[in-house]
Amino acid sequence: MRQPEYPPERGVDEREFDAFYTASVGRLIGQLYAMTGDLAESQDVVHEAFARAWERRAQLDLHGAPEAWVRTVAWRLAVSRWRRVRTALALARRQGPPPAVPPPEPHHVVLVEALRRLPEAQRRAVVLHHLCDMSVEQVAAETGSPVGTVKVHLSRGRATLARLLSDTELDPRAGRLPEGEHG
Amino acid sequence: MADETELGWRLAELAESGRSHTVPLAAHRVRARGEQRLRRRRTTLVTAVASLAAALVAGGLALAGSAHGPQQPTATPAPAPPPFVRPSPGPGEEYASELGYVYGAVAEGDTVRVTVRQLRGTIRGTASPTGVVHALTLPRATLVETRRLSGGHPADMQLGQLVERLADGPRWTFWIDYDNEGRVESLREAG
Repeated sequence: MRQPEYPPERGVDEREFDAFYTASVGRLIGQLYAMTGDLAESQDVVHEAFARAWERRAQLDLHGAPEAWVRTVAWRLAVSRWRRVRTALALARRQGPPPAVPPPEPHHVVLVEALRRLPEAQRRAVVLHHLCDMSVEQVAAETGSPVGTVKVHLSRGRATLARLLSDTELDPRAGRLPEGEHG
Repeated sequence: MADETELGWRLAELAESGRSHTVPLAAHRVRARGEQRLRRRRTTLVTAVASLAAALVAGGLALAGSAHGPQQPTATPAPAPPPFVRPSPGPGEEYASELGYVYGAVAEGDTVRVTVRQLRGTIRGTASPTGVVHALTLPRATLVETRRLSGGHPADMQLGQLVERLADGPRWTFWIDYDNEGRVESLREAG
């Protein structure tokens, strides 16, 4: 597992870190939720990734791409197989049970279930490209994959999602989701 | 999903839903967690340096003693190896660490039994045995931070995944992290 490279030495103080955290934590939790399909898990890995960013604050460069660094660390934490067990135990010891998370909307359940059935690399590429508005080249840089591989992941991921979501309430042909719910 | 635009829109809606249903920790609590990790890392380094210094002093004394000529053979039996005492974290510290070879791994249901040959602190391969050898029985899911064991890249593994690699004699050295109740929290590949 390759660690994200650290930006050139800059360093941040508490005020700068807090501003960066406040501005980006919600966005990153949303992105990790789309990647993992587990809201409590996404919260925890994002918090842990920010804690690691503070631990390495001497190298943190707010003018570089700190959000991408935190996102990458959070993603790697989420996919670590050991983590599911360790997090539950460690968090329970440190903070008590995780906060109650309300159940998602029914049409979100459908989408989350479909996303979960994508291989991890495809899911990550789809979320980075379509949610984070990153170009294929940027996705390749963040994931450490060749551009061609990212294109394959995107193509396959979209095709699988289309198949899984056909004839569900998210299928526009079904016409079951009122436009008013689209925001 | 009709097209890529709609996919992006659906994902954004999902992400916003997740975001709106969460209350992130306060920034100061996240910083506190980062500080805790930093203290742990520094403690490990300080422990290693102190142990190395002690080993160098002991080695120097032994060399000075041998310079005075060969020791007379003695009939006194070799002292029994010192007993194992679980390290305990100092005040304000989350973990205490033990350095040692971890080997002889045997899976036993949901646990793995390993033998630990304790070493004095090491920097750049200057470890020396303390004489303490003990066994640990740990959950298969015990976190193991690896580097060489995972092909040169840092990785997080479970002990259960490493049973075969650690089954033989002493070869791989680890820092073993004990919490304040004497439980092993994680192993970290040393060196």
